[in-house]
Amino acid sequence: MDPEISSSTRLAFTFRIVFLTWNYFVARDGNSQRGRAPSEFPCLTDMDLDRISYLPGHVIDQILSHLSIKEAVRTSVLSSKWRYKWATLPNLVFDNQFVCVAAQDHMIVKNKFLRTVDHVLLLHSGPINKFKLSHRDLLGVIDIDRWTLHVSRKAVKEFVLEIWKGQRYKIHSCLFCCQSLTHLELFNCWLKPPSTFKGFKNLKSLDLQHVTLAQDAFENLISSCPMLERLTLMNFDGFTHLNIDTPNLLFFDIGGKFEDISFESTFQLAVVSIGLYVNFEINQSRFRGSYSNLLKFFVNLPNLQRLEIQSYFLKYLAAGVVPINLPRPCIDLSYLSIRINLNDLKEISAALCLLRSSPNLQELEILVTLEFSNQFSVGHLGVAEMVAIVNCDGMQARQEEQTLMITHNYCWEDVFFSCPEMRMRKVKIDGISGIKPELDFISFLLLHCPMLERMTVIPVSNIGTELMRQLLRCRRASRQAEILYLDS
Amino acid sequence: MKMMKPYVWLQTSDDSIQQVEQEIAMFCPLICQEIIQKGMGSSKNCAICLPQQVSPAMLSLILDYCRFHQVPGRSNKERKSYDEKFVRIDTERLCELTSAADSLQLKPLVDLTSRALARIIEGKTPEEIRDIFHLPDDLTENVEVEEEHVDDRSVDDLLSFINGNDGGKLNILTILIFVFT
Repeated sequence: MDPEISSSTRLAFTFRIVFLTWNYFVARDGNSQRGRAPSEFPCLTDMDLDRISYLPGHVIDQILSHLSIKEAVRTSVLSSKWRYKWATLPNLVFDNQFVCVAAQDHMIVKNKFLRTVDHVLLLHSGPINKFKLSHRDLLGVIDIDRWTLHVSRKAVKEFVLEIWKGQRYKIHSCLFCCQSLTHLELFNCWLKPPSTFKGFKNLKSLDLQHVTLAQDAFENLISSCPMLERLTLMNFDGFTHLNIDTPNLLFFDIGGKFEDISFESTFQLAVVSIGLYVNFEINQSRFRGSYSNLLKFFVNLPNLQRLEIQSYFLKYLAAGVVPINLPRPCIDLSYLSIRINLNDLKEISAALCLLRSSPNLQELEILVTLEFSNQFSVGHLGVAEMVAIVNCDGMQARQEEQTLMITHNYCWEDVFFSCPEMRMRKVKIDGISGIKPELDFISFLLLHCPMLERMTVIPVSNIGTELMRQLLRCRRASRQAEILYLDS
Repeated sequence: MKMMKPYVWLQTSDDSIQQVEQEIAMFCPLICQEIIQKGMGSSKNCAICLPQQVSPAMLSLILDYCRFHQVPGRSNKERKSYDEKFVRIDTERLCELTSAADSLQLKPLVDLTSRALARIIEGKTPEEIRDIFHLPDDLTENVEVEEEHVDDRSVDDLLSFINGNDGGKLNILTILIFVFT
């Protein structure tokens, strides 16, 4: 059958039914209102018992918003009153729940998905607050352009697009003109803002994962979202220099390969998590002289409260000169998490610099990276990180360096000779294999944290009781300190 | 300056007037506005007239809710388990409560009850939902007109989409045919 004829017949049929049902309901509503006037009848009719249908529209919307869109749309078969109640649903979420069919055929699922989104959008009326498209069989198809255009005309506030399969989907340029956006979340997309792009004036939260974006486009995007409070960047390509210049930023989470990162006017930024997925050592030679990544990184972060340093980022911070202290301590920093190679002197001194410069730290988490082949096995890193490690040439370099470092007789007491006492209450050390630098580090912390309440030690698997014996011997500055040994 | 009084007078939909602790009643934004902006509720003569949706029974339920959550120092777990028990009432009263809470602009309670109502609807067939909420089954009349047009191939599709895989009656589903084919 000619698909075009078939669809046009269906369309004609569709309109006929809409017309028929519309006529029917107009007539029916008229009747029911006339019928309702004498309400003094003593017996309870169904209408008196049916309370849910008479709840205000915004309350019905709220009820329906707790259901999947499939279930919400299904309510249209309940009764005439419920015919179009779902149509004003402000949040349209098309995800895996939304199409579940017995058919395993991806083409059928895909076609059904496309058709249903079309129809839901066609029948929907009223404003769209949120539009989310995330289905495991969704490719970056041209239909998405049409939906993007539709919802951006409807002044959508939250736009979430996750392309699970295939190549990066090029975002339709109309999205970049959508000034109503407050939340934008894109997965596996290619962003190419038009030359007329003026930024998102109302955008508060931006989440880009597996995206491609040119360097200049990235800079332009970040600096032209003045209201931005939350920024997440994961596994991106096209840009490697990150200059974060957004005055209202509070939360920043990044994981990817980049060459350098700096902050400008981010004076409110409180929560930062950074993972560098590429071994920085390759570019180390650039950092001769008095240049210090640590100093550069913290200069515009006066309000930092939580900081996570993941993958190779400590190595990045340790590049160049590592100062003893930061010129301005991180007064508000209460939580610090560091992935560290305890055989790397520079990483240790960078970590110590952070500990010295965080007088009000309450909680410290140390993720230990020692033997490369073991530590970077399953469980310690995300898939993306592992891919990054496999892709880079760092493995060889790290192992060589390890043997070099291990010959240094590093003494914690020497380093912290004039160190003020630390105020941590909780310390967690994950990935311990029981070698000397680790035990030195643990005993050093126990000796210098008089407020310590709990130290959690998580060893790598298949480790004997020797580590436990060693831990028991450690002297503790805090009377209340307990050691929690979490053996798997 | 107005004197803050510990009690406030409220008039419910049946015209009865009662005295309740102001601190608790103030939890409802609507009552709060009446007291602060209009100076109402300070005596029996100028009792705050509550919206039609608030019957004495609903008011007492709502005040119970406010009283519990007004106490400081309760853990989130405690609050959650109270909330869970609180909405374990029959669906008619749940709807009435939703309507009353909405009219008093008590957002957290509306949120709680609409979540509970959604849970009731979730996973049920249209027949079951109609039974529970006493909805009139008034959509089937015009179905006959459409039924003859139903495309056989799409019924399976439709059934599986609308009802998951549990099957269902054709007549009510054909209504939706233009949505999902």
